[in-house]
Amino acid sequence: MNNRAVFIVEDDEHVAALVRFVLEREGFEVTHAGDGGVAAQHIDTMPPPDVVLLDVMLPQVSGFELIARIRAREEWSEVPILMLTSQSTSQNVVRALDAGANDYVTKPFRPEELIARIRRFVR
Amino acid sequence: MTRTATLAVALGSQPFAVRLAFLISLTTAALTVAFLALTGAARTLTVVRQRRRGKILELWRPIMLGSLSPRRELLPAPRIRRTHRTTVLGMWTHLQESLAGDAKDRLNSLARRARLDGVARRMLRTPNAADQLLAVIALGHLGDREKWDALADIVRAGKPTLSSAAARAMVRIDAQDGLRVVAPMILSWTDWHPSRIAAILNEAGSEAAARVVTELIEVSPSESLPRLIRYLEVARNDKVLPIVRRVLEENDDAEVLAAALHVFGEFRDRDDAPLARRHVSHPQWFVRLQAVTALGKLGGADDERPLTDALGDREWWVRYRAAQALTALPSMTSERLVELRTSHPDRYARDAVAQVLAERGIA
Repeated sequence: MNNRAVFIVEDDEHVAALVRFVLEREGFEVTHAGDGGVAAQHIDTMPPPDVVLLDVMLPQVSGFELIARIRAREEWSEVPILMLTSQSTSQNVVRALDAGANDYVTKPFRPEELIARIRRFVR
Repeated sequence: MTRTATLAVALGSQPFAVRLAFLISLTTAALTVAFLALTGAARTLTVVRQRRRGKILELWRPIMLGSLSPRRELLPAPRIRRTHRTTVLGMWTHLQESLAGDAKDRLNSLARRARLDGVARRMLRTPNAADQLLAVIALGHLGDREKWDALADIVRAGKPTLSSAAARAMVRIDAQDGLRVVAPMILSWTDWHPSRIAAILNEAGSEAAARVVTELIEVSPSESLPRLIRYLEVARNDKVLPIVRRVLEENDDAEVLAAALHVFGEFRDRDDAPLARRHVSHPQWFVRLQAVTALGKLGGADDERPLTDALGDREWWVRYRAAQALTALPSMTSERLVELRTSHPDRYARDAVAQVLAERGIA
């Protein structure tokens, strides 16, 4: 069992359930926020996870603003961030990487690829 | 005498204005009560529907997600009630759209086990447009040919959302046969946003997309050429470049030229740089715009001069794209751009450079 913690921020209920299922199946502990506002509160108050998996398009606070927030908080500043983005928004990938994200996964995604990319950061 | 009768008698003796005011206030009060009752009923209905949907998802989510795991024993799939079919098929389709690889095949196996394929076929006939759209998308993911003719009819109906979804589904089921149905429609869908056509061509893959678009270019009237040339971008296959160059040899229309320059810029073959250079001063602004944009992708140090000159173009868009193109040239440095921002003799040129530098965060 991994017992590594992943914080996912995803407003799509089906994608969030899917990602949670895939990660928990591999032994990860998953915390989820369904919008940018809740995620921002979590970042401000909770201890950092091992990895953050972040959707780009979020209600209330965008994925880009959350990256900045994570990098600005000392305890979270080194946490690896993976962006979850749709194929049609490749400019968002560049923008996210410039903003401080470490990697990205495009939707539609292969579950095994998602796990491999996350494992890269928690070895 | 009842209160109502007393009120009626009292009212009857009042002046007309008072009676009218009373009637209006009574009507307003009645309408307000009716509106509040309707709002309450709608709200209650929404809550009931949300709770029902939640229960359906609670039942089906473990079954659908469980089917993704090759190692786990599959949970039995319950019979799908008619009132549940939209929610269940919606969740299944959503998962299909979110996943790639073997997981999609496992979801398809679940769909057949749970007879979701039959549900999707039946929903294709529903008058409800949203359900029909869901069915079309689901059948594409299932690779179901049973309703091929029905899907083809929907494609030919020409309704942007439904027909483009049906076209994608057909191409997903069988790229070659699907494109045979869709290709003639591509010419006629002149009012469709290019992104819809691009999504259909993307579904077919780059080789098939390149083939069908080049075949259409051979047979289509010249006014369709600019649009068709732009679709070649989707092909992402540089075998299409000779076709575009040939079209330009036979056609000097400005819109065709602009479309071709756009494609050349996207494919970044430096053999096309001379063509872009030739048209930096074309009489039509939209050609100049595509020429400077392409030069930013194809050009080199020698192109700094024509692009710097283009900063003084009379069209804002051309100036802006020329500034962007300059920043993209490998030979250009941030220091030289900053110097250009202050030293260019044309104030509009300096504004264009300042705009682009600000966007890139260069002080």
